[in-house]
Amino acid sequence: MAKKMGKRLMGICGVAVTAVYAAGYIYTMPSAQANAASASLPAASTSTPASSGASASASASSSTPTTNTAKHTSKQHSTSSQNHQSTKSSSTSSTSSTSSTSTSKSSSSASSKKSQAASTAKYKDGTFTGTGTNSYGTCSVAVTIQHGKIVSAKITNYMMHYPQYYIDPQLPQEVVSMQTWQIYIVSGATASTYNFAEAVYYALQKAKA
Amino acid sequence: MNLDKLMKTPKGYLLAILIGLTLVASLRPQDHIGLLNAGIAVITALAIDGIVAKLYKNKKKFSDGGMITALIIANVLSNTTPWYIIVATTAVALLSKHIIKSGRKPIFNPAAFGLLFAIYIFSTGQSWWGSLALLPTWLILIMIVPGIFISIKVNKFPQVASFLGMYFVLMLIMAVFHLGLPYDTPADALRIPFVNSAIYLAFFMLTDPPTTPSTYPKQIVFGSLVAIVGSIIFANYGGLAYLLIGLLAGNLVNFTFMRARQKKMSEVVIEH
Repeated sequence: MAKKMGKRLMGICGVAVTAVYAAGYIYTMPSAQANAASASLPAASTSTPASSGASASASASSSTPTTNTAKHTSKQHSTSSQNHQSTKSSSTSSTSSTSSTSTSKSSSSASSKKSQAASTAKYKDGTFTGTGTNSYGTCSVAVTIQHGKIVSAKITNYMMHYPQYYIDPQLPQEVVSMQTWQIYIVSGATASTYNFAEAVYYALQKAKA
Repeated sequence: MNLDKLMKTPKGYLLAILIGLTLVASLRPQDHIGLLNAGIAVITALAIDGIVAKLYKNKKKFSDGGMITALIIANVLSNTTPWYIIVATTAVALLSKHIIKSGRKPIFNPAAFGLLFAIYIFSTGQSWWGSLALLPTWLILIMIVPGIFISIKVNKFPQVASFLGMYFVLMLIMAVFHLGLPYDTPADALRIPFVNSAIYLAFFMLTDPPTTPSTYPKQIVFGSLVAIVGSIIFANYGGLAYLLIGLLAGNLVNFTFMRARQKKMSEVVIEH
């Protein structure tokens, strides 16, 4: 058994590790900030159309999990890890009054509003946007309503850590086929699923008559 | 061993810390279900270790080590993991402890073995939610302070420091020379939520006494090796399994050197 390490040496080691971490953190700050800035841009170019005729059975649920160890081929995404200071949900629309609630708040309130959103919702026609944000990044959607029904859900801005193909097109398809923001969680892309669901939830809140 | 005695041992401290972390992490509404998952993992662990103890007629029926392994598995696996996968992962982890061993010591960190098996065989997602990755930043102190405490208690501070030091140095080098993937960059690895995984592994998995060396020079080599292997995997493949692969590679090298030393010693004894 090794003899105990001295407290002074421990302190020096701790300071050295912290210094190296700080150096790396500061050095990588520009790229992290660039990613964070791009994540906060309004909905733009990364939209992927969802096919409205897809069935829910075709989409992934927790029984068909994906793994995040695979070597990804998509280079669309980047990180928005600067957003980690507080997990917030927001909407890109200036009309939304519920946009700045915290994730925990929105989640608890969201769960209590599940039945409202899912079953009795009557929506105005038009295209409505929403955004979900947490530590793993930001996801924005545009939900199109025609004759009171969701006919399209598009991911308009995807700045999550893992590639968009983890959730797209399956989750937008689920939104259309199930007519709700309450979609199946994709195992291995939990954070992305939550963000997407939150974004759709806020869009549908705005669409409510 | 009764509960009072257990709680005065490093294992008892670690168990208390992991229970605390699980409770804090589950405060996040989306992670409430994590408590249920942790319960499933713990019950599985106690059942398997209980059966093994009965088979081998061990006096010790209550498996504190099994509980620690179960809590680590529950803290790492995604909360959306089905219950039967949690059971299977915990079972694989504990069976690896009882089957893949040298003498009485397991060769691989049981939790890391089970988790890597689950990732590649069951295709499970891992979120490391128990590392408080999705809670406010300052709560990381709830992991770091007890982590330092436990690493001192089990006399593994040099190992933890060498791992974290080498890991951060390699991430800095990767950033300076633009090495690695366009996604999963050093900027990601050095920030919340991803840095939480490395810190969690360093304090609560790397400090497992049976599967890691005891002397300080070997601890430093071991910690550095885990960081090097993990960083190479990270640079080439990304994902989150690189930490587990690094740890298991370190375990294997540790076992190989231990075996070689034992062989050498036995040869010396025979010569005399």
